[in-house]
Amino acid sequence: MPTPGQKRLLADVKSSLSRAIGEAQIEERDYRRTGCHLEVRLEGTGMRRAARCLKEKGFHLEMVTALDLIEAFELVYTYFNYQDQNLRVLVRVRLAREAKPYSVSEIFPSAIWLEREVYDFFGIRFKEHPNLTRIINPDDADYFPLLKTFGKTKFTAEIDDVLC
Amino acid sequence: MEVKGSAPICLPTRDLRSELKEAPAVVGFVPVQELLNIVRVNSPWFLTFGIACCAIEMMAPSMARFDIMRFGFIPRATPRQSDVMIIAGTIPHKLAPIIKTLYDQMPAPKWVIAMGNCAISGGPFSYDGQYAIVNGADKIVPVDIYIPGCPPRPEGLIQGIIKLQTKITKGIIDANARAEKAARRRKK
Amino acid sequence: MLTIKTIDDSNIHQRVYQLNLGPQHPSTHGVMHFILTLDGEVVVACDPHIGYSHRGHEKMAENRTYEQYLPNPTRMDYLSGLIFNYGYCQAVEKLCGIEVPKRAEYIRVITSELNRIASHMIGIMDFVMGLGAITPFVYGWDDREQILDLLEMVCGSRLTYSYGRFGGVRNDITQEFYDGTRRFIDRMRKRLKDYHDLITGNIIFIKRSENVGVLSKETALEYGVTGPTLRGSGVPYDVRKNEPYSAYPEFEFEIPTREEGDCLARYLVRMAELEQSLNIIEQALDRLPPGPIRADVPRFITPPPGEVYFSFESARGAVGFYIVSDGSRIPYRIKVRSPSFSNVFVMSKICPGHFLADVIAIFGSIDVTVPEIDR
Repeated sequence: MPTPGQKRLLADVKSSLSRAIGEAQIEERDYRRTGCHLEVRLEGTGMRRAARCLKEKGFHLEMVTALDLIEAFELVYTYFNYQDQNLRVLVRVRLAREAKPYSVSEIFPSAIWLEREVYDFFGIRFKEHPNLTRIINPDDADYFPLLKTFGKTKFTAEIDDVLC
Repeated sequence: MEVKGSAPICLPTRDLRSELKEAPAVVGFVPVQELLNIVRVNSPWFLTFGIACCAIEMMAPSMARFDIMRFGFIPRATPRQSDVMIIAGTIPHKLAPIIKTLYDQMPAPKWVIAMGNCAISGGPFSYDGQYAIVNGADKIVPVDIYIPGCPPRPEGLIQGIIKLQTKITKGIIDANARAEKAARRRKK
Repeated sequence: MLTIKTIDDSNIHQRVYQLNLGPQHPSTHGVMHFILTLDGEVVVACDPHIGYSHRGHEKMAENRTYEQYLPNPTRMDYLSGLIFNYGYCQAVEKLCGIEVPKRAEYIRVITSELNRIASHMIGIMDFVMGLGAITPFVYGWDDREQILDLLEMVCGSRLTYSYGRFGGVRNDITQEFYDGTRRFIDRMRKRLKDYHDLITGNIIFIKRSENVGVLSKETALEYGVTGPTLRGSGVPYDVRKNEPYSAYPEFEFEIPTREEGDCLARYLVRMAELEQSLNIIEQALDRLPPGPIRADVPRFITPPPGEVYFSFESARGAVGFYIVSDGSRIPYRIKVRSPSFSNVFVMSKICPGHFLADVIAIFGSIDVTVPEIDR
């Protein structure tokens, strides 16, 4: 159960996020089932405004990843409050396949490598990123491995449950 | 003079046979080579090239409990001073040219031990849609000894070294056969 | 008559050059590649290059059922393999709402802490060996062999364990393991005193690690650093206390923190963590409850559609498993937030200004496992 301090910070974060982003879906989540306290759904833009707002409240970037939903991409960022209240906020942005989102690396330097990894595996290009190059795959690779159309996935081949 | 530290200098591979052709006749004399093999086999210095999990099980035998240094098996950090290269771990595509470079930098005669399932054939990471790894070290360099296991136990590495000794001396030094004979004598 | 010739150095220009540290290097623990820009012997810029241990764990997750994926997390960070194994099991249990019996939780905590001590033995002693002290390295591995004997009794393997299952653990611990762990705790407490006598007061060690690689609190938080590296910079963040999981709320232990942020501080934090781990194991052995060791879970699990982010503390920092399920037996996406990935990036911020030899010291004190960076 959230402590009183956590509830106050949650309410504070909710109000400042809705002021910063405007009409976005901000919902509280059950921490015991999903691991995050607050979930924010954005459509297309707004990640940098959310990041600035969360940095003022004492949150720091923990993880950046992407999901390949066949008609769209979804970028997922988690922010955690390391020092006082241990709250986790999950912010997701739904993007079109060819969209180029803005990078948050000026606000959180840890995003420099985390977003490079997303580019390396999904091909999502970030605008205003200091060094958007391959990081884990070979530099001359011409594939983006974690796309659902690459290699062997449920969408490209029959995956036998027993003989995977 | 421009000094750049990055490009490795690779000498072309010369194997023992081509070196022997140009050497004076006494060096090519077979008993001399057999004597040299017996000498070589008692101090095979190995290049520590631990990539992943098997690297820990390659370091563990050099420690106090198993102690492979008593066989003369001393780790060297540079390929220029080593006889044996132990490839321990999975080989991704980015690492394959580096293994070839290191192998070329070792002076002949040299041998390669592939340690662990990943270096033998890709191991638990080899499946139908794998994009990232090379299925085995013998696709890059010629391998002499294969040590299976995920990771192999330190006793497995010691057994592999003993088999390498047998292979290099073509059976003259065979610690396995000696141990089996001693065990049979004890049973009688 | 002795004439001394001096070099006319008006034509020598100062220039910077680039040096490869790795990928094959005895002191980078694994295949880590740094491109250092040096001015003489002083580092001007440090650029880590990774990817030499990439095995495609996240793509493999889309090709395996949840049970078939069990051997994979343990091979990501093989030094704390059991902690990763349990973390994956706990993430899936959270997604499915499975409740784990008490005895299984206690066994998980005992074996996790043993694994943490074994990992710190390599982490601390590798750092010290990078500075040139080889004796503690050999002693530390001997302690590690004792732990591996104990873990082999229950888990069956020395390094890459698949002991955890969804809902508990695979088999119960034996009386031999129980007695052996008690003996090990007494032995290790005496050995810790030996290590402190051998290393911590040594003037050479202190001169080489004090004020080397200072990481300030703000930089550490901005770069996403976690684990002993963050605790050495003054932030008392440990997932076992901040977001308690498993049976950790029932044990009393402290989070050692130091303020200086240099290599010596990180070393002292890890040594203090060894003590705390021993305390946790002792408390768990004293209060080990009887009961089942595995919940009643169907043989092939099918989690409901949804997602979970589960965070736990490995020996290197806070790991996160983000699992997205679409309702079938094969996961849609498993993303692993690895602490070494974030920790190694901070080297490009703190290495400039130090000597080349200090780069090895800083890298050793951050304690990174390279395959965990690349997954």
